[in-house]
Amino acid sequence: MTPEEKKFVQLVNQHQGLIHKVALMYEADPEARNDLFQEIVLQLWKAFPTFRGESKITTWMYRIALNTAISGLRKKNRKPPTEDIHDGHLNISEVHDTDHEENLQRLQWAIRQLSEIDRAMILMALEEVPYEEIAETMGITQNNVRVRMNRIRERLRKLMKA
Amino acid sequence: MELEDLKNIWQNSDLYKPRREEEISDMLKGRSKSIIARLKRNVWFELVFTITGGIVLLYYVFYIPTSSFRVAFVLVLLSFILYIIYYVKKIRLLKRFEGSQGNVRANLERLINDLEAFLRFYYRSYTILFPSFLMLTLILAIAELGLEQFLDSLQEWRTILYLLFLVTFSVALAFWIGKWYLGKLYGTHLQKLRALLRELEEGDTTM
Repeated sequence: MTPEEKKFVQLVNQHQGLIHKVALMYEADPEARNDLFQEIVLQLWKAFPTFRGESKITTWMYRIALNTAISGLRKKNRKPPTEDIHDGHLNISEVHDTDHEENLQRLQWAIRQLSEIDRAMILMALEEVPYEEIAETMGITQNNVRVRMNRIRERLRKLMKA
Repeated sequence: MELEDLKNIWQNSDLYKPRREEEISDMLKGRSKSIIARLKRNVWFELVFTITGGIVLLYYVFYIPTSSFRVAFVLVLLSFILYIIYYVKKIRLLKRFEGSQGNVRANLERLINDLEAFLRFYYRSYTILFPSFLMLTLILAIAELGLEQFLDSLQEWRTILYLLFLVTFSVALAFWIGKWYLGKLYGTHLQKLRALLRELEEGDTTM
């Protein structure tokens, strides 16, 4: 492994949660999710030599991961996203709290009902990314982020109750 | 349920099984499965195939005894050169799709522009290549029959009918079928990208 590769692998390892979560938001099928994870890693690797540290590393990673997931210039899903709440395909090794598991599955199902743009925004909001950074990643105004987030929250509330 | 409750659900869950560094490292050796990467691989294959075919053809040109056949072979070689230019341009256009480092909105705008440019080029090349093929077929027919016999055969209604069919077919292929085929291949994707961009822009224009 070259020093550059080593540096990159360590960086991805450190922030792999971000990639896993983007893949989870956009692919319900585990195999397709795995493909998306790999595609994001490859796109990050391609872009790595040009990363100059002008923005935060997580902002840079979110941009590339979301662009890869949203633009959809990859192989189509083997299986379309399911409407079934109980088909959330969680990667949870051991879940002790049944209520928590149910809530999480419901939340994942509700998120998958949102548009691809809204999914990107709620993901960042759930990860406590500041609105300023969400606006920067999405290329919209902070005011637009606020308005959209209110609408998404409302939609999720309804979906979670359904 | 408030956003804080949702955050609580989200953040207190083991959503994924972490990958080991070795697994991540192995991923770098893998090939991209994106449509663009596959298109590029296909075009590279076609380019190498055309260059190899061209070299083989060039070698045989010198051993052809009939001069009319030699002319035809040279024309085929010229069409190979056109193809090489076409593939190089296609690879350059496909390269533009790479590097999604901008924000989501800028990336969508860039993708739409690049895809439109790619489709325009694809469509134009269809409209040029098919009639060129027709011309080449005619030249090859003249080379094989000789101009005099070729002109004689034009007096038969079957030959005229056949030529008319060939012209109609190549024009239809170039204009309508080409357009339909490209729309089917990339149209849905382009529409999806435009819809996503509209969705992002809507928020900012209604502020």
